[in-house]
Amino acid sequence: MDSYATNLLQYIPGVSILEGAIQSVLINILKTGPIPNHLSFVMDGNRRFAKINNLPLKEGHRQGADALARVLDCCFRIGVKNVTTYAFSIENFSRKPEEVDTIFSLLKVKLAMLASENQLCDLHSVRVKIIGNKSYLPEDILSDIEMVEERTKHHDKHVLFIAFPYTSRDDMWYATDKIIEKFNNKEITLDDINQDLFQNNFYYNELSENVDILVRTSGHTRLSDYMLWQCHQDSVIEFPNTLWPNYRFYNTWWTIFKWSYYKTLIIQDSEIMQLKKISQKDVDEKYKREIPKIHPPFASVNKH
Amino acid sequence: MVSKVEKVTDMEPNYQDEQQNGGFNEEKAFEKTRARINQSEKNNGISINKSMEQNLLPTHTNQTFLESCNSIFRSLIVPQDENLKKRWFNDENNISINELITFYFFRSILTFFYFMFSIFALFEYSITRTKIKFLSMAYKSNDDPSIINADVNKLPKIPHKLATILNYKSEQEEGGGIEGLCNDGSLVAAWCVSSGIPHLTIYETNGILKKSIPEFSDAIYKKFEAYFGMENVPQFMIKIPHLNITYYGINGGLYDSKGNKINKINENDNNKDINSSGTINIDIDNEEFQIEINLLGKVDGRQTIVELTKVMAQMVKSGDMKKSDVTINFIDHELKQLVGEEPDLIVMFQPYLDLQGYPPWHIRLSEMYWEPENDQVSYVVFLRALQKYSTCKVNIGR
Repeated sequence: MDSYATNLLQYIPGVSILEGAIQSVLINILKTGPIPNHLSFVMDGNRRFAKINNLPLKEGHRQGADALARVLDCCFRIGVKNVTTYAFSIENFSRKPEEVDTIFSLLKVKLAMLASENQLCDLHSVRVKIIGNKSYLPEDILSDIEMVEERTKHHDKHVLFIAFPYTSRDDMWYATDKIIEKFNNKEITLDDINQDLFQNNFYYNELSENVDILVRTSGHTRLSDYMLWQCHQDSVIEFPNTLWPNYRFYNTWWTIFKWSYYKTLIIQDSEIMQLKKISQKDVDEKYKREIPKIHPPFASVNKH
Repeated sequence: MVSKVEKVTDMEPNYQDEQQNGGFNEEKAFEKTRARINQSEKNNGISINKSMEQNLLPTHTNQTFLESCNSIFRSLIVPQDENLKKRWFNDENNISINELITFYFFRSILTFFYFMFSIFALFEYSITRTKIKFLSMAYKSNDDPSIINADVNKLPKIPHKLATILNYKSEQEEGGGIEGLCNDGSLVAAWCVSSGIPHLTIYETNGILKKSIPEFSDAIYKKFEAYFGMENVPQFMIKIPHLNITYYGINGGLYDSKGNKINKINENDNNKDINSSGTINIDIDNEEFQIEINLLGKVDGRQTIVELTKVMAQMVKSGDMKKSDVTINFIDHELKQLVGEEPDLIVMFQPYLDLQGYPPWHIRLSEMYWEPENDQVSYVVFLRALQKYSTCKVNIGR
């Protein structure tokens, strides 16, 4: 019902222009505060959306893809450096073959569109990178994806990671495997193996970064094997009740706004808690004076 | 005890196939890893004090309304964010007046929004706090297992393995210090026994509980006595997976895995417990335990995975193990030995969601529950977590 009303609004002349103006003002406002580096989305709820609205399953996924385009646009305009989205889990292969095919073809088309000339990738200078176990993918999709990756390789402002097909355990196993391989080839020593090395050996490779905010839509409060290593400490995890196709610009804005509010408080707080930095010169200056010796005459009851 | 067990995660069958194929000695891997972790822990010494202060996440604040207002307005005048200037101005040293005006125009709107949000947050805080107050009046455990049992028995399903994240509070606070932590842990243990959950994992970032086993077992014993009566104290098992140590609490005594008595839990028990005076050993295998308590800390998280990788790398190099044997199932098996099983439900007794470095391999499908704005270990939260869990549907992938 909610989305129905907003859809109707779009047909009134001038509304979309006004909305565009509001959105760009909102973005400028948010830009003056702290901004997260890495956002991550689990796009959950497409099928439930289709079911609730009596739409075919395919339509649910299509609307989900549209929602993703909106969210990405918002994130990149605000200035979020990296965005990761969970497109397809390795476990999802157990779904019906038709549905898997639908998702695959949708992803293929949408990716091609994002990377085509003068679209999102060129506009914001976004590099597309697929993270996940590519050995599960059929040949034709793989070649398409690699083409997109190749085409956007030179962009350096933002990175869009697409988890496809991905599970976090697979990711951790991949890192382990790679580290063992490197150790075997004597590229690294035993002492080099630490958490940072792990961080750099995930599917993300050297682009890896801790997640600042992880959003899982549709209200399930579990991670479902997604970015476990990256978000089990020092990350904000949000579980909004919205279904993914209903997730739009304002939801993204609100999420980042809340983060930025609390971040401002933390930054200010740490500023107070820190001792003010004084240079050695100032310290010397302050303490060079001797203890004063001149004083008024003593007046005391004790005679001495 | 728990008759109906609904299995959610099922990796065992796959693993068993593999076990027959792989001819190497996989016991070795986790034994070595365990040794390495302990070694590195010893070298690092006790690092409790360093990490005692909790790292705040940008999702919650401890500041009062006035304090946060103060911070907001101060940040309008002197923004402390270093990246901000780089983002907004082309040349940091030479800022044009136009740029500055635009910046402060938007920044003041943002500050206004922050201010509105802090009012909103204040409202939300008071409403949720009132809600929790009412709920805790409605659901009271009264330290009575039969009430808890009746509450839980209304639910269609309960988790088989429950994990909880507890926070060490400073000793100045009420219910803080090691005693407070032990009390919190024993409370959750008592609720678990009352509701029939046989596995409990307690995660505490600094691993303080692991280092204070006597105090903890004492607290558990006292709590169980208060809940279930003197004659009927449940027997419990405390495990520290990465040290591979298990303690058994039987009839008021604490025993190690060989059945030797370590110490008496309850001093007043002297005349009642005949065994405590002599050196009579207890055959652990014949005993039945109502609850198994696993104690985890930050070491069991990333560090364990790193150490396991080191051990596997060495083993592959020396030829003890084939590289193709390093599979997801193998790692899963090893980590199960080192850290324990994957919990079905993680209950957090803190005002916001913060996993604090809970072992990442193990939170794959775990349901998480926390009550916003609540910082007490209270029965309402426990019960509501179970209620939430009972309505959840887990379907892997489908």
